Amino acid sequence: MGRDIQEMARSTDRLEAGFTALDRQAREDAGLIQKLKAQSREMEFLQSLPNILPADKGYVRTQRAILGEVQALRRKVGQRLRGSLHIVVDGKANKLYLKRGLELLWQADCSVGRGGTLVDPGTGRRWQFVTPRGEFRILGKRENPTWIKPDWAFVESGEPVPPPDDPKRKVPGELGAYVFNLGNGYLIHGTRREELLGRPVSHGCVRLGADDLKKLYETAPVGTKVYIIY
Amino acid sequence: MRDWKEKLKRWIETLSARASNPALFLAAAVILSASHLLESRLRARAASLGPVLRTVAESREGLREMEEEYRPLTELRVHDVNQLKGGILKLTQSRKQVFEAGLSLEEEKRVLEKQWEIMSTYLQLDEDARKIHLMRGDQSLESYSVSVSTPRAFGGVAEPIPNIVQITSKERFAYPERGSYQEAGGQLVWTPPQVGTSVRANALGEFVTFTNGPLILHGPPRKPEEHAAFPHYCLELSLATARKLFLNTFIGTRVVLKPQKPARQD
Repeated sequence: MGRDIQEMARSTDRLEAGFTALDRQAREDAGLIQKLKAQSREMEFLQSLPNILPADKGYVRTQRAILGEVQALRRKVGQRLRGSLHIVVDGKANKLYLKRGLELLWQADCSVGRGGTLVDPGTGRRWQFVTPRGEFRILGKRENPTWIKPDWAFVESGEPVPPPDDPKRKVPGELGAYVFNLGNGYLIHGTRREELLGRPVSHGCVRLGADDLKKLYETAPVGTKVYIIY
Repeated sequence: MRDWKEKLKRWIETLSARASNPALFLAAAVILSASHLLESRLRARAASLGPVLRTVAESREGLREMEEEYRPLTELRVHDVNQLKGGILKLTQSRKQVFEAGLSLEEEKRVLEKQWEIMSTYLQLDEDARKIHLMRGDQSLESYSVSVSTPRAFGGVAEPIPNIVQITSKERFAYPERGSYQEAGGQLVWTPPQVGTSVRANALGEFVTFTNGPLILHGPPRKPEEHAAFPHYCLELSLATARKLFLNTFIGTRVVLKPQKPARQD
């Protein structure tokens, strides 16, 4: 009987070990299957990612054709510029580029004229807030300018227009730390509302952020050409 | 020692006297039959566990085979996924570069085209045809009729008109006085352009294009008598022509009034 009990105990141990091994094996297999399924799902996801670019060779061919045109333009414009330092203001993209010849030195967001016309109901005077296109020059530049508030600024805000020498017209700090004069009342200056840069919101001047304005002040001397394009 | 042995002997004798023989025999029989029953039951249970053990072993073998099948498959799939990830990463980076280069090229093209437009555009007066041409290089882009073949002087302007002038400013509505910029006492003083009903505004009307000479291109005046008194040279443009010239020219555009003829070669 003792032998039977011992044999029985051995059988039970073997059985227990067998079940444990079976359980472990089943768990491993289930894990493998789960992993395989997850990998399959990931692969399906990766393969289903949309292509953000046209994959056909036509895109590259078009780019090559554009490059040919750009090279011809570079030659023509480069001959005129002769490596000179100049500013390009893109009124549509509201970007300002500082270039030396064809080389782009840096670019910044800016704001140009918002367009539209303001009419003074009292006198019938009209103002158009457009930044004109063309080739300008920096005629002068200054630090800490005071803005002499023009009539349209009072008309726009519905305030009575004061006489020309009225102290109300002097607004220090409105134009930022630096100002560039482009002639005929058009300026490049700073703004108190930098969050609006990149959008056409000015009254005809070119607005720049404080850091970019400082950089431009330090880089562009009087006489630098300014091309305003649309 | 002898006492202890004596005590044990007496205790056994007492125990033997108390228990009767049949009782002992019965007890032994019960114990033996119980043991036999237990043994047969254990034997039967052990025999029944054998097939279960075999089934477990078979199942385990099946699972092992399954594992052997799935493990390389999973490894293969992991490898595929990693390879795909690497490929997608490289492809995305390469396409991003192509896309950004394309954007940058388009941007440069746009800027250069517009810049070249400003650099190469000029106006040319054709005295014989009484037209003013909007030129780009040697090509006439548009032609507009003018009332007079040569600019007419008004307001007793004494300054002679040069052959070539350049556009310096534009006013959609003629201001009573032009804007100015000056420095006074170390401060920037900017007087903005104003609009009103002064002589200047009445004389020049709308779509006014000023040059660095005495020539002013503008639409019909508000008051002809004030126009006649305002010193300038005029091409007496219609409102439509003045508008088109205003819109299609730039600050800095040259106005060629008398094209220079090539020198005669004998």
